[in-house]
Amino acid sequence: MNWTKIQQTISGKYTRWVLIIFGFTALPWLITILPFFGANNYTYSQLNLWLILAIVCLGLNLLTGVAGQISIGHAALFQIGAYIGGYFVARQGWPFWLVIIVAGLGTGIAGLVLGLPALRLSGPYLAVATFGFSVAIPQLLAGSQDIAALYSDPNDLATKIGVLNVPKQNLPGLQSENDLGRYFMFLVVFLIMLVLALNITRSRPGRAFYAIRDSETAAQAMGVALGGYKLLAFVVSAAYAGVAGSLFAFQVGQLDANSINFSVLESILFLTAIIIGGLGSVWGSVLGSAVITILPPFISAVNDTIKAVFGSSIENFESIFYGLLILVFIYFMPNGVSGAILRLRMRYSSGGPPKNPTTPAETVPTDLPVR
Amino acid sequence: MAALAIWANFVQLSLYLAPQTATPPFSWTIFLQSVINGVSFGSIYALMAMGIVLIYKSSDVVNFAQGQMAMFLTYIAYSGMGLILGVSAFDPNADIPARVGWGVFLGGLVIALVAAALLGMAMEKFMLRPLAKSSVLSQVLATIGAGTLLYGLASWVWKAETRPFPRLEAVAGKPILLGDAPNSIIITLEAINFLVVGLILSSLLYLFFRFTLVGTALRAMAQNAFAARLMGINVGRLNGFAWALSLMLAVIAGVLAGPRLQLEPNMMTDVGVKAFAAAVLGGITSLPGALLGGLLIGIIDNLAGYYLGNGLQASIAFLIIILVLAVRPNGLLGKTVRKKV
Repeated sequence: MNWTKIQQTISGKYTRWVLIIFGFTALPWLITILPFFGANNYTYSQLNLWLILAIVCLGLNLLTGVAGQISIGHAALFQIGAYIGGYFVARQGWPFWLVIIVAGLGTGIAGLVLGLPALRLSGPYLAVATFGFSVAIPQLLAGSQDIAALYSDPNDLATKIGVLNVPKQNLPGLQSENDLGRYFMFLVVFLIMLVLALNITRSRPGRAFYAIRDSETAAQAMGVALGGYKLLAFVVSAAYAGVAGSLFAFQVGQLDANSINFSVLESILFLTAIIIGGLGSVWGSVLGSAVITILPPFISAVNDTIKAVFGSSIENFESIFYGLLILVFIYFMPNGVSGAILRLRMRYSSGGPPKNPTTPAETVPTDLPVR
Repeated sequence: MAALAIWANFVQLSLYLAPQTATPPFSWTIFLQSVINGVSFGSIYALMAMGIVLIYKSSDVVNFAQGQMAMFLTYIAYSGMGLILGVSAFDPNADIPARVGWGVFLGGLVIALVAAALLGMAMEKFMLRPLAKSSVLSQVLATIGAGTLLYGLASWVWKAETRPFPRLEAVAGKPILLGDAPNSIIITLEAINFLVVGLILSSLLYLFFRFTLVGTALRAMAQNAFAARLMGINVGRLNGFAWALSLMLAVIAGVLAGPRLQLEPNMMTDVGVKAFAAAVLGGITSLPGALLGGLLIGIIDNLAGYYLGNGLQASIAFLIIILVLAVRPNGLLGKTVRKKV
């Protein structure tokens, strides 16, 4: 079988999905090839965190990459999802599948609130509004006893304000500490969200999002209702963050409103992931979040080497690393990993435009003044 | 519509918070004290915010790294003071006195100002000029990347421990008391210093933009960079100049606030965020707006901190900003920019 034939076979609609599902299923065993990742619970928990990050990034990419609206507030939406999920599991005892849906819907409503300022704001003003959201939500959740009483356990007086203990969830019949089992539970959710994202980009609203990103004025002239579609982008994106948040609650078991996982830094990490993966690319979100998840053990290994050579390790070494990473991607690979893959594919394939319409944009919004 | 919905949310929130806030009885002394503290520290926000506005007006970039840059340059000022005193600042146990005289203080400040000018011009030339045609998100993330990098570098070079920043001998004197002893309003010399420096620098900036040739050229460039270039203005060099000026303001803010905030890699993060909020509140294209925004944020911050507790301080500040933006999308003093097609 020659290469073209193989290519034709694997790009068949159903074959492709069978391969994708097979690949994701085999991943917990494949990943043990990498250094630092053995066949243990740590590896599987990293995989789970990757799926969670990937779901957030799918949503954020729909908003920022596809619809062109900056959001530095996604960590707050993620947190809202986590607390809704945690609340209904811990206080109401609902089954996890229902909780995931409720968390998605509830956070979607929060996204509507975040999206309302977006109707009138753009650029730096939108950035500050979403940024403010990201600062305010953790403070509100941990800010006072009265608010904490809404979600925390009234019988448990020992826990700190802002902390919500959630029983870890797993597939029925599995122990709550079994991260491999949880991987498959998360995988089902992830695949559903992935297919949804792929379909949204090809649907009527998806096309409208692309149009808004490229030129609001042009989109409006072509009959795209700006306000409605912008709000829709925020709501859909928030729902993704909410679903991911509820999964996060199931994974870690204890939520702390002041933890770094819900801080503004996390919002920036989400943006970094989609920049690495490629703005506007669905598969790019998955790749970018994988890069972000795989890096930490490598970074600490480098730091350990520095300690061995120079005598002392560098504090906040990961900041230097992430700073450089962001800059390298922005300057040398502005379309991210998926853009680079696409370019390679165009160079070495038999020619013709790529079939996948969810390619990263080669153009940027041109409403900046000429200089 | 949007404004109404947000307002309704806000009212609901404040109703919810009401029972908790009822505890401290209202007193004019405490209120005035909060306002005075707010105005004085608001000048620091205003200095930083004016820097952000300068950069935005000249190169259309929102510098999210203003706080980190101020922090880094404050460390340089600290090292400069160490250099003059003959102490190495890189040693975490460096013995730099808590109070220094004019000579050491100004020496350190001048070294940091030079470093700020160099860093600013380098940032403009090597970081943002190549991104002039990229999307806003790339530019924003580039500044965030640079800020993260500076944060990491500072914790590497100077170690991450908190250490005291020397205070100028002249402002460490006895505070002024207004009113009778038990409930008098305390005004420290440092607070007066913040406000005076803030006001002097902003009026100097105003005069600079109004009456000098370079200031006029900067205004022309902010209006239309292309036309300014056709008129023979060296746009690239002028952009570098604006960056340098902006970071020099940041240094002054950092050195002023240093003794109060203590030296550590995170010292200016919060100030940077508030300054950014102040710039947006005042309208990110307006220098007087930045001054107004900075003072307002300082006041709101202090009042909310006292009446609502530290837990909700930042949330209230941001809620108010979002409310203002919902009514005036271009900030308090900002001009409406018509979009080019």
